[in-house]
Amino acid sequence: MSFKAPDLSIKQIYDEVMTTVLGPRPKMATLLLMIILAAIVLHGVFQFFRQSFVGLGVTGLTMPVYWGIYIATFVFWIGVAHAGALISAILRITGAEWKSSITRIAEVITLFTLPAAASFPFIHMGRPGLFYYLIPYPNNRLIWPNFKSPLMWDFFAISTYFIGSVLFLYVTLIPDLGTARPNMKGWRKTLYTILSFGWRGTAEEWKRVKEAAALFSVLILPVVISVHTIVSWDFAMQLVPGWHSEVFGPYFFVGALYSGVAAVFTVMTLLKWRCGFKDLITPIHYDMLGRVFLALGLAWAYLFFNDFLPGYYSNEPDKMAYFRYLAFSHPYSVLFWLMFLTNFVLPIACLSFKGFRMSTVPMFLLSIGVNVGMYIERVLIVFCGTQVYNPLARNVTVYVPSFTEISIVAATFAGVTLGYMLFIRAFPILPIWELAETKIRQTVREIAGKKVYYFKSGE
Amino acid sequence: MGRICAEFAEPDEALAAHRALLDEGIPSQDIEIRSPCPLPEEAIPPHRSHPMRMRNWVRFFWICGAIGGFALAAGSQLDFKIFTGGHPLVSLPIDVIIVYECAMLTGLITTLTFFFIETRRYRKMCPPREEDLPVAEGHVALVVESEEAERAAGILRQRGARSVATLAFLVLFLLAFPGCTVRMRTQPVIKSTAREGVAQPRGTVTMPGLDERKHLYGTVLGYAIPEQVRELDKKDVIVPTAVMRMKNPVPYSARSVQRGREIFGELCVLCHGVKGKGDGPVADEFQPIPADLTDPVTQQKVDGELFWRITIGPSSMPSFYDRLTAEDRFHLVNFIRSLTRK
Amino acid sequence: MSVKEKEKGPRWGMVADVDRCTGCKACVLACRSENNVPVVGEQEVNRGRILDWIHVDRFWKGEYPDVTAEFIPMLCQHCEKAPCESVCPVYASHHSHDGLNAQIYNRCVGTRFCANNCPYHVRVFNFFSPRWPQPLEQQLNPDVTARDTGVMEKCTFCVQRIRRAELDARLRGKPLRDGELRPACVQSCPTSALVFGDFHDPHSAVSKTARSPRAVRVLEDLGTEPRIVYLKADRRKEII
Repeated sequence: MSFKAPDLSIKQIYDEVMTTVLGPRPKMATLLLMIILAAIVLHGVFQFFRQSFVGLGVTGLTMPVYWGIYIATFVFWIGVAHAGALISAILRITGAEWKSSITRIAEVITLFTLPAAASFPFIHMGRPGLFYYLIPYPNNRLIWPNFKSPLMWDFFAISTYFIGSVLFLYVTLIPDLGTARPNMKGWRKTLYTILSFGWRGTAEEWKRVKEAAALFSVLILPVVISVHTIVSWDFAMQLVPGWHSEVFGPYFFVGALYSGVAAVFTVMTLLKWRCGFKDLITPIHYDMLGRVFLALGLAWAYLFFNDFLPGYYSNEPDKMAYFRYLAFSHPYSVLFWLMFLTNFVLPIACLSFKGFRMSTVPMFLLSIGVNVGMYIERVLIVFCGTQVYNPLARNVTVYVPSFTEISIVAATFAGVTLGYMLFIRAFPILPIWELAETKIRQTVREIAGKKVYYFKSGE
Repeated sequence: MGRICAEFAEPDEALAAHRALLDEGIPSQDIEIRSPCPLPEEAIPPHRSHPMRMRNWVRFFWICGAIGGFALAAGSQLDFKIFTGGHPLVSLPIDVIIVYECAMLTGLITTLTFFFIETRRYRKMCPPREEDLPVAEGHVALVVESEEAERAAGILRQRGARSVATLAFLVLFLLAFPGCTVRMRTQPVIKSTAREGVAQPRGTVTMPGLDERKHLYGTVLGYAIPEQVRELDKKDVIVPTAVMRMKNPVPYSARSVQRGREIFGELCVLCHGVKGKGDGPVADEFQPIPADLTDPVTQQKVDGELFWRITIGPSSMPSFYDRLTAEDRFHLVNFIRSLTRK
Repeated sequence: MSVKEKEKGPRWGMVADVDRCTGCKACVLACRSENNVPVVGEQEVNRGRILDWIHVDRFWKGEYPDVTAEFIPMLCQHCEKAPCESVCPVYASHHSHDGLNAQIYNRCVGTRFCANNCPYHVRVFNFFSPRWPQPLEQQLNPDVTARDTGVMEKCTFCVQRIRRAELDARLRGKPLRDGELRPACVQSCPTSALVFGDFHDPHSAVSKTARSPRAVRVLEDLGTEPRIVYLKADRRKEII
């Protein structure tokens, strides 16, 4: 079954998408959930301030493990943030028609997960009040930051990616805001008028918005590759045996896309369940994105083995100590094999079947599983790299995250969810113009008694 | 001059009507087609078309960003010569990462900027108009604004249009960097025990602190430093006449000024600032504020007095008799002279 | 500093004779009192958060009953190509003009990147604000800054002593004699297992002893070029 545009008029598409914005007031349960999420966020903020006044001693960090769950969560969120780039840029460049329903869902994930990720290096600092020491500007301290440090590369890469993805999201949002503006009332009208920047929808403007979207796709793709590569270089540049690996760049990047796509599935299903885009998000979308998911899962597995196999084959002592620590030592072996199951065995086995790919609920559960697995993977890399036995390290205890750390990590999860919920109430979560364009460009031909849908080129 | 707006439910009908208008001789620049989604471009009849230069601008600024990124990285490294990890000062393989990210960032921002510039060139930044409503309904609108609007309206089964203008403002969010705080006041300070008079266990050997070591350097260059001079002279500097008459034993030379600059950069710059204007990073911490060394009041003082002031440190300035040799202090005097002697 | 000047100046370094070390840990104590290293308390030490700039690693050699202990004093190796330096985003860890691996506490923002990247595990972190139990606060050294919470610290080769000795020598008008300048650990070593001096001077004690066939450097194959030379007759050991 090939992809075909939804059987709706442009007005119907508009109405269906705008139900989340213009629909009835949220139910009591939704409000309650939002209050709970806000409370978790506030608690995290409180814990962060407590930590910065008392000192990092309130975390579980100890001598050899100087980087803990903060950095693991940082890597995880950066990974999830790759969803936006993958769906929007890659699918746009390759001209996949089914992308329209998914692009903005994915971009908004980036919008909220990237700040969540970027907050962690600051939370993790010993003196977070001095974070501006990392900003390169001519200052009265007469000092520049060290551009040779991977953290500075992080700073540049993440800010570039964040600015890029926000602008990308914004450019594709402008036409929808401009079109929907006359129907809006109250604060939304003001917001849409300001943000749509006088959009009118003439042919000239359409030409340029498509050009800008194409340029953004081309520009953001190398950025997104660099972002997670640089995050992996935070580890790979170090002399820590488990981290000093040349394959880390692609390994992290593919892992990031893998968890990003999983996050898109999760959000997509939740949206379908709560907002009912039953004509706009169909099993075919699940099938199409599921194929990408499968390919990424296989690529991840390939790089995962590529990371370990050379060390194993040549009996490299440091690498083997690391691997043994991961796979067979008490606190981590459970996590390691759980990751192996949810990241490799289950997805590869399940996604190979079209029937599975097209069923919503199993895909939802699988996507959650993959993201749990990816979180575990980051945790294992960050915790074990420095925890592994080294004759010169004075390992006394095994690192266990403290309550402070867990509440701050939980706060970012709650914050991302809350942000997403608010965004849905304020802006259309599906790109109306892209859906309508797909609809317009679709033509039907009857070949041998079968209807075949194909699309005229957008260029 | 009339202005009409025709509404079409289907894009194909609108495109056909557009073609009909052109056939009837309505100039293409008077017709504006407005749609809720991009229409197939090959189907749109020839209309006013401005060249789209976005790509070339992005290419150009991408290269500018790369150059800027390299200038930032290499410039700061050359300005601030600190070696780390055995790498050369400007290490190309490492700086390439910064160059790359800067170029990409510039490219991305340029895209948005030129998107706005190029779309705004054809119309004003207008508020919602009547003809927005059909577009919002998912329909395609044809707006004709010309002398022959009446005729066009006839062709397009006329619909009236009026315009209401209000202005939308783009809100600029300025990111303010947090101010720099120098944490001199808040960090713990350790005072020498020798002076505090703490009862020491028997047999303890007291290690002299900086202040107690003055007797070690009590006489330099033949000028004795009286024991109490510091406390007395802190408030009102009385320069001994012998010192006032003293000639600078270190001749003014480029070498001496250079040595003075090195010492200045190490010890004085935090309060007196790079240019000696008394505007260093921690200058605000002091009352009275550090002296402006380029000020005529300072410059008119004789060498001996400047030397003496550096030696004992007037007001909140620390004394340097125990940290700098007399020769170095005279180098500093020469450096202070060089600030105004160009 | 120009490269030329770098060549000219001293290259401070240390020689540690492992065969002479008795593991008495006098150096640890001396370092603690010279450099105002905070005491973190029993509970924190049990959690692995001990603060010490020098520690003595103990290794057991041989099978029971023929067992001997071997002690290795570990401190910052002041590497020429220090891995900790380039990863610091704010230049808190950098190479000083005389080649010391310096740490600027006021610059440090506490990313702990340097500690991860140090293969010798000699960098320690202030998890809390420093405190000294009652009588200890009276022995603090006024020449050394106290480090606040969130700051990374490590052995400085007693840079305050180096600077003071250099200043004294300049005031005296004579160059520094070899052996005149000693960090606290060297000063306190009862067996003279630690020797400090200028590697640039071919006649200094450190240069002479470093030419011994017993000389090794810790984790030499990493290419960090440590400044501390260990002397050790028996080479069958896991780290050095």
